[in-house]
Amino acid sequence: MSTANALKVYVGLLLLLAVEVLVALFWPRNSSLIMLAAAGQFLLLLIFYLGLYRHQGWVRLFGCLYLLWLLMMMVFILGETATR
Amino acid sequence: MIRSDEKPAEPFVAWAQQREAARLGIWLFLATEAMMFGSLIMVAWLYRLQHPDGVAEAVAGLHWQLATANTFMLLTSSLLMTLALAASEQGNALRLRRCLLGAALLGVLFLACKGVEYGLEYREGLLPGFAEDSPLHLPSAHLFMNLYFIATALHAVHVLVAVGLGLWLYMRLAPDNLSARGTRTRLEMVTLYWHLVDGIWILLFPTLYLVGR
Repeated sequence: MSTANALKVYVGLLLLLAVEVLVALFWPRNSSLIMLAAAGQFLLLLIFYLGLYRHQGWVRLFGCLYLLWLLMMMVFILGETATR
Repeated sequence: MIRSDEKPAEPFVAWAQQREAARLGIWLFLATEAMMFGSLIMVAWLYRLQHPDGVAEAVAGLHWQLATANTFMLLTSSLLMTLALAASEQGNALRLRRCLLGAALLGVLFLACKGVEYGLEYREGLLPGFAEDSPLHLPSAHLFMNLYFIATALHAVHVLVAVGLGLWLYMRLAPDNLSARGTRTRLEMVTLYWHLVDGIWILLFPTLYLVGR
């Protein structure tokens, strides 16, 4: 990954961190938004820093398994929020 | 100068083959890590579902500002590891070493900040098993603090290992006793581990500190 692209991903990660903190401070009931921002950070990390976009075969398979795990967590969390 | 790893290690016959095997190994290892921490995160969320009042009481006592600073430090260290890998591809040894050292220092700062946080929690009677008169009233709040302590301490051990690996690589690079290919493979594996430790924290941070404040 080039330096410029790594910096772009870093800025994206920081922006999502800012979203998480601001929502927690001003809209604390909006927990699904906080977790969506965290999921976005995890996705950025997995795809760009861990390099899912440039790998083939079983590396991509593992990456997809992680993403499925994340999706399952998101469904659980959103379900929890909806039924609170 | 004796360069011990100019040839791929036995039983590999080519560098590409060795690198592929190393990649498979590290991704399998990362999968076990993801499953372990994923289970802890799921337990935390199940706990939130079953005991919202107790969790809210426990979360209100946590120092989210310090945790936010820690998140910033880990994200920055991940950037530095990515830049180290880019420097390795460009053959820029000086920049590679600087990035590695910067990432390791940020990891040490993360651990120091975590230590300060534990110290504050100890003084406030929040740490499980250390306080006689805890400000937490609900039993479920105590249980959530147990979970918080286990998850964050386990993560801190992983950060410590990552820092150790980063410093080990930095020192091995110092006398230039690693071949370019050997460096590249080792650096890639350490970087992958570092990113996963960062990724785990990315999910632990809102799960433990932010949601339900």
